[in-house]
Amino acid sequence: MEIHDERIGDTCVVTAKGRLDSGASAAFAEKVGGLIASPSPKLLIDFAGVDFVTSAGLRAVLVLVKKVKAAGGSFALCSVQEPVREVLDITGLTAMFSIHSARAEAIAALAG
Amino acid sequence: MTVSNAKILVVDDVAENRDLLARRLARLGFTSIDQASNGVEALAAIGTKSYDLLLLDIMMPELDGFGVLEALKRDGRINELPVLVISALGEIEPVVRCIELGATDFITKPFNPTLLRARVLATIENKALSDLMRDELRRKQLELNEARTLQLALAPQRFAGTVCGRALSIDVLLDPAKEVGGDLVDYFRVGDDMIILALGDVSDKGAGAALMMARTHAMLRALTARPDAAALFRAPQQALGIVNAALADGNQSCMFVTFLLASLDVATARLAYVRAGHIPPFHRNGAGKIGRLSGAGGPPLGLLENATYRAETVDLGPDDRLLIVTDGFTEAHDPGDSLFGEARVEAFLAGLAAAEREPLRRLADHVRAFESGRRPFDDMAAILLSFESRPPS
Repeated sequence: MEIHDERIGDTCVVTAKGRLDSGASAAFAEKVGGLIASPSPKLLIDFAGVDFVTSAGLRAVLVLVKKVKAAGGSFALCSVQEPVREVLDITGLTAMFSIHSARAEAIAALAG
Repeated sequence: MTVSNAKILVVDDVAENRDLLARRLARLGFTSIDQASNGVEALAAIGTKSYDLLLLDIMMPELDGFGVLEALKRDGRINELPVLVISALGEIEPVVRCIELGATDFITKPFNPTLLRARVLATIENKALSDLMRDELRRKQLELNEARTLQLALAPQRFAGTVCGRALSIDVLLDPAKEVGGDLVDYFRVGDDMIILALGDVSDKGAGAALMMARTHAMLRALTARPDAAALFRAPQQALGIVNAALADGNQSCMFVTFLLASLDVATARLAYVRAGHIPPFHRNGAGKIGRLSGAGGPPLGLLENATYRAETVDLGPDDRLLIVTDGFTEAHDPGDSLFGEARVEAFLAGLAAAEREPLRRLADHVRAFESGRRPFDDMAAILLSFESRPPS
């Protein structure tokens, strides 16, 4: 999977592209985890390019949420595609994430 | 293996060459050196003793060096026995052919002591390292095989019989993608009239997931020994809440388990189920209509210590079938990245014949065939309850 990161204001925005499955999840968690070393980090993961997520991938996202929250920061997902949204709904994890339809909206929410 | 105990076979038809090499090797500290005067003798010696290095002349009577290498390649021993070819100075083509046949390296006659020492010691060192790696891999494989045997033994045998005067069968399947996996399948009775069905899927594969699976399974089974077991399982949300709280306590890794726990009151044919983040089970009624049990019971196990769960109920009728699977079935991919999907699982359930003995094995084989020889996508576990609400005649 391709992972690109940029800083917009004080938010770290990660754009992921491809399948977040058991083969990609460990590298994903390690790379994104390395971007949130600052105190009170704000992390946004843009899922526009992610078309498939397995439970191992969800676990990697949960680990990041836990890390961000432990550091007093905030976390959001945006542009979640329908197949991924279905997986989140079936597993009952939708409520555990702050999910926004578009990037700008998510950044505004994190800034607030 | 060290220099002092490495076993070397020197193969040359010229006795002076063999003696010279043996003396030089002895000076390097090697103490176990055998000799053979042609390829036939060499293969006979290799057949009775495990050597660590072969010094092999090419041109010999009876059987030459090429013949020895071809024989070693044929039976695979070339992968475990390094061969240094002895060639005359300037002989390039025969040396190339030997290396293509699997020889490790070559030394030229007349022997340069420094070069001989460097090549022999380097080859012995590499052999020791590869022996170590192979032994380690073999040991790990044996451990994994044993773990797999133990894990597969956690899945119960198929049941077909009568409970409370009603005929029913339960088919189960556990098929880890690797040696061990994170899927869990079980059924057991609580009291005289209750059958518990359990299916779980840990959020990963491999050894870590297998430990999580075994832990979850042990916790669930431990509940059956409690004096309030009947009440806990009659309201399966209570049983699942206890397992969840224990798994979530200090779970820094965020590894979680999607779970489907169902209790069937055989006397009333009522099934209570809790879906903890698991994909909804498939239900085929007696008329052949397929529906899903999609009531949301709560989050996967292991994430939220204080999560509460809710049970849903469904009344089973004559000839009903209930199929619970893990996503190893539905999310399997073919080489073109198409999903096996839920429609194929539904088609399987729709076409199920009552008399089929091991239908889940057939479904699992279908999935692996769909993957067309690719590495299995995920662990697979399933449970199929075939319920006959009418008493047997």
